[in-house]
Amino acid sequence: MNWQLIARKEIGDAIRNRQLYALAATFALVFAVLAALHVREVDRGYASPGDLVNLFALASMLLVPVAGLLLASSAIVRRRSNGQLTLLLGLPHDRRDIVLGTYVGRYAILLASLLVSVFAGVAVVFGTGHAVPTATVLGYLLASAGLGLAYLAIAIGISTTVRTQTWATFAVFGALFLLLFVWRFVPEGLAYVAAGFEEPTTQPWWTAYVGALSPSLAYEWLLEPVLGSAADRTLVWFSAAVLLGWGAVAPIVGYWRFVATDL
Amino acid sequence: MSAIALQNVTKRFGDVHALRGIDMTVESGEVFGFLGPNGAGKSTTIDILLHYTHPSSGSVNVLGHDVTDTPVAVRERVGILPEGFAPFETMTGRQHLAYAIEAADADDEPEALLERVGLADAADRSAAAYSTGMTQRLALAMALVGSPDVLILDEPSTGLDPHGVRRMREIVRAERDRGTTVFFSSHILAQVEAVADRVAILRAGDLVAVDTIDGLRETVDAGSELTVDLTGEPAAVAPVVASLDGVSTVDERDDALVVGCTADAKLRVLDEIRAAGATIHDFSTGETSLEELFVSYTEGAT
Repeated sequence: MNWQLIARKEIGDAIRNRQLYALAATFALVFAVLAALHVREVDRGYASPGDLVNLFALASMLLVPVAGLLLASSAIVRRRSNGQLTLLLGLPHDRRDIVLGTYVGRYAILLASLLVSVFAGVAVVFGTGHAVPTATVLGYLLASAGLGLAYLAIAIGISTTVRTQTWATFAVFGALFLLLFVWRFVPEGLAYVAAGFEEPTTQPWWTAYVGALSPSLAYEWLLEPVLGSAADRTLVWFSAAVLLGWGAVAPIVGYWRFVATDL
Repeated sequence: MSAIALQNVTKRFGDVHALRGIDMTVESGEVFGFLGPNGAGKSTTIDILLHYTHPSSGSVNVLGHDVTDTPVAVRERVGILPEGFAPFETMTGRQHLAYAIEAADADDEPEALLERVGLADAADRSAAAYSTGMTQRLALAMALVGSPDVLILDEPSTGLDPHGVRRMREIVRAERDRGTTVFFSSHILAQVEAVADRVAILRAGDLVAVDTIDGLRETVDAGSELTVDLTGEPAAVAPVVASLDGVSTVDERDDALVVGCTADAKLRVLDEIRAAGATIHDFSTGETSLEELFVSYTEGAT
């Protein structure tokens, strides 16, 4: 079991090449600016303290998937094509260790960046003497950690499957486009087909579930109770399960392809 | 117990047959040279030994472990200097060694290993800035971590200067003296000849010869060439020489007689020439080199 060593090396790499600092700083800057905007709105009476997380969530709907995908899309395929994997697999490592270690290591980098940035945002709010909705922020963090996990896992799956970085980049952008935008129209489309190519009078119950299969839509459902809306509890739990499911399934599928192919 | 055993190993890439049924055994403690022109399948074989590549059929056993079933058990006891690898761009030489030592759960000193391969001066420089030869030394140092039972070196002299080649050779000898089995590939015969106990010659995915260096020499000797300078006219003795046992060809060249014969026929040829009344001014034997043998074995290979 050498995956911990690889995970530590991934984190060490991100520190040594300053990727971790760059990512965390970018995130922190965005969240700090959002927090400053929020504080101004609160001061003017246009917003309540709880709206902070609305702003955060809006930013992370795009930021977290992009960061997760970019952080991991080349993780394995680049080492494979440049020969570092050859060196690594000459040591007593299993291919499973490579996938798991890379996954865990890169996720730690993403989580650290997320934590730092939320902390930076909260610090701005707190530092200017405003109330911080602690429970809401924590709930938001948890949901965002799940969103990051799902997208990072998808990128790991892609990175273990394709053979060139170009394909990894294409696949990653395709996945983002599909899951973040296109999927919003899929449930209605299916309902239309299910109703015999006619506009259904009422949306069937399952459209929301089909929608929630996309990590981005699952994330939005997950945020409903965090932000205080009344949401279907089953759907929320289903959404949480979807994020974790992506987190497990995508790397496993990638690993299956990875062990079966030549280096 | 044999250190490495391949049984009927084949490898296809699409419809290209890279290996066409390799049967080969490397005994424990020997230095085994794996020779062949570029593209003969040497690296494919080595990739299969480390399970970088899956064989299409056949079984591969290293130190009693089936490579396909337990690749990690093999990697634990094998040190590899692979081909076409790259160092980790964020790490120094010393950090590479520290990583390899931790991965192998060994207690080596990075310093001592870097010293051994002649990289101590560059230990704290980023490996991304290393030259090809330095990268090669770094990987050799990593391969030596944990005193492996088997060393597998794929074209080890790539990018090395003559000093580096000599040091590589010294390390191979020292490892053999320690009892390590060394399996290394090369397309340069001289390098194999200098250190290998046994040699396998691979050609277009087939093993065409497995023998000791001496054994190969004997094969070569069958094709010795003897050049005899005569003071008189060579034509006078040529027919007599041609009739001798072990003589295959006799050519006249200026004042000399060029005789193609087996090694043990050489003296008889000289005796016979003198018995025929000719005066020998000088003579020389030109052995067909191993190089020529190698070329003849691998000619026409693609």
